[in-house]
Amino acid sequence: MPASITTLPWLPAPPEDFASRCRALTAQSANRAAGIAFLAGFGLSAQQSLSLSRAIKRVQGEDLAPFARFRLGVLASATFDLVIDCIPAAAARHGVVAELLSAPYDQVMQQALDAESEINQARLDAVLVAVDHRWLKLDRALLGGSRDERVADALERLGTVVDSLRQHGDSTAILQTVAAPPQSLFGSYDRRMRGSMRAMIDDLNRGIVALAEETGSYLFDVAALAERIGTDLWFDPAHWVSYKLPFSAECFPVYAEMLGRLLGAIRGKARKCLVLDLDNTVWGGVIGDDGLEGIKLGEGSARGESFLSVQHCALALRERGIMLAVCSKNNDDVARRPFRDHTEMVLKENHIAVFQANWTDKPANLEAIARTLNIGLDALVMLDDNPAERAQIRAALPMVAVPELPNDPSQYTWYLMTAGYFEAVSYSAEDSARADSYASDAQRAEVRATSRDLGDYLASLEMMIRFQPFDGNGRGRITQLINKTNQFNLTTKRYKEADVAAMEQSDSVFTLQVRLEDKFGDLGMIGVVICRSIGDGDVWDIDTWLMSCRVLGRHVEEAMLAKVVTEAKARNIRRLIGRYIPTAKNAMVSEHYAKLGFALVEESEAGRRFELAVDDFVEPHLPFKAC
Amino acid sequence: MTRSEILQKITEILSDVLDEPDLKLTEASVSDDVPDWDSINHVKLIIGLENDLKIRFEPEEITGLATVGDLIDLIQKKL
Repeated sequence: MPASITTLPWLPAPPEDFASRCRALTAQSANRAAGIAFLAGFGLSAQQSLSLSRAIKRVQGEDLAPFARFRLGVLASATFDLVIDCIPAAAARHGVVAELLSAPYDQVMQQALDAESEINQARLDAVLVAVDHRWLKLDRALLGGSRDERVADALERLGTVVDSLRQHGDSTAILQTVAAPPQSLFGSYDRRMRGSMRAMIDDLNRGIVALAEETGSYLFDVAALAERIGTDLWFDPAHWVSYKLPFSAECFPVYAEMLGRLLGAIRGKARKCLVLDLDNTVWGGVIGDDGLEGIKLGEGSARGESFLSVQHCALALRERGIMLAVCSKNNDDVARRPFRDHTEMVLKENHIAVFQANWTDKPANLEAIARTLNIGLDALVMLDDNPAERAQIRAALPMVAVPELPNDPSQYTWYLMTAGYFEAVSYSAEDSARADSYASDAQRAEVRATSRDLGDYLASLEMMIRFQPFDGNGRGRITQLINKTNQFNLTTKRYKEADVAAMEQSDSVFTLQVRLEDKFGDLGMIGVVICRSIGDGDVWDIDTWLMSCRVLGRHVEEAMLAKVVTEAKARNIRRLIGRYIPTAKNAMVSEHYAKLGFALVEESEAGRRFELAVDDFVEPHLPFKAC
Repeated sequence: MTRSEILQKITEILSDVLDEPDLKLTEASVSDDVPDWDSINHVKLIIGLENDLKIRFEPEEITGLATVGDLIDLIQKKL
């Protein structure tokens, strides 16, 4: 079962010093807008929402571009103050600075009808009409006589509010659908009983949808939200009778979040493009290592079906006009192969507007995608299974939305679609054609090199790297890596488990198995090195050097070399020889040794040979914690 | 939790609610002593305590409270 929607699980947890960061936000702060956007990007509790809402209120008089402003009135039939506390924080998450004006408790009709009322005089952009079944007098079953009239009366009251706000306040109403309380009178028979609360509220909601259509009001589907949460949790009888709280306090942040989306959509802030990572996001496995037959996709296995549903979801978004792009650490031709040749792929190249498969960091590629599509970075959503990549993107480009994802891919679509990036307040044929209007030719966009400072980001990962010689415990995984790794593999030499076991004992072979952990978890064994002693015994020929592509860009190579050099010195080794033997799949490491400071000494069809004098090596500063 | 820990918790939540970082409360404090401690802020305090301490108050329990000390008594019974 997915996490509860009430905790906003698609958003990362706020930092420990969240409250003090909110307090630090003042009119004098530089980058006020960026500060608000950053703080709003977390999954906030009601209390944290209040801290941020207060901070926003403090600075709302200042220039806060690119935020859009929204002056929102609230007419509520219950104690709404605690809900209102959460709204500015949630709206900021969707690109809106909301300034709120609320009428006193249960003054809905009076405020709407009176041309001189606070709400009408304020000429607000919209007024939320937050009333429920109780205010609409549908809080008990009506078994005799006038049930249709009761529903009609309720709709007429709402209609009066909508018309009055328009007439006296020049404002548009935001109407809510109404959640049906959980208790039934007859059990299942309630559905068939026209005077039951459930049946009347069903009728009412149909009428509210029609009323919104007729009057050009916005519609906030509170009934759907309550249904998702469960009406047993949504309604809180104790808090209703004691404080007239409209629904459970636990639901205030998520209610505000849903309203914030709506305000964002009204202001044109909904996102326009879904950017997809590939390996373990769109299919299971790593295409560069597992190959076309090895990746998991399609009916028949739980994993395969999970990724298929991600693809169906992306395609459904495209059909309603959301552009699709790809951003993956891969070789371009390798990454495109499933789109062309895998029979289970639902997504095809012609669905993808921009296709970025390369080894440059993802923020630079996201910038290239936005530039090519001529949309802002704040129109992008990046779906990526890798928590470290997500953290890097958030740190470098806080305006890109990056939902958290759980480990289990069957929940990916829930997270993506629950995060609500693509909220709409209208829909037209033009919208649906939008994704097609951009040439969807899976073009490659030019990535501009930027001097982005990733230093803090890498330090924030709190990486710990561990080295050990080959041993019995690691043997299985070492053998697997040796036989499976295709991309980050300098020589692509394959060894059987017995060969690996023999190396554990050999005096002329130096071996390393490398493991990496970071604050997001244990990445397990991610690297293998085999050096063979040659000549007079003062040279190591690096027979094998391979790594998992997941850890690219984290200076793992440098750390591995530093370890090799340290061990070499301890054994009076003077020189290291590194070889690159090209294959169809390992072009990405052709410059590996050159980048590490080795000198090229020989080049032929069969490959390149590099050398490094051990004494020339200077250990760089590396972002790893001691372990 | 000891009485003083509960008092500290109440002070922390109420100072958040009132946006009054220097708020001081004692067991003898009553809402009339504290500026802005009105009925709506009282609701915010109660809900904040329920959330943070994972307890629930029953409607009748709340109505009889006079001092902060009474509230501490009530919370102690629930923990």
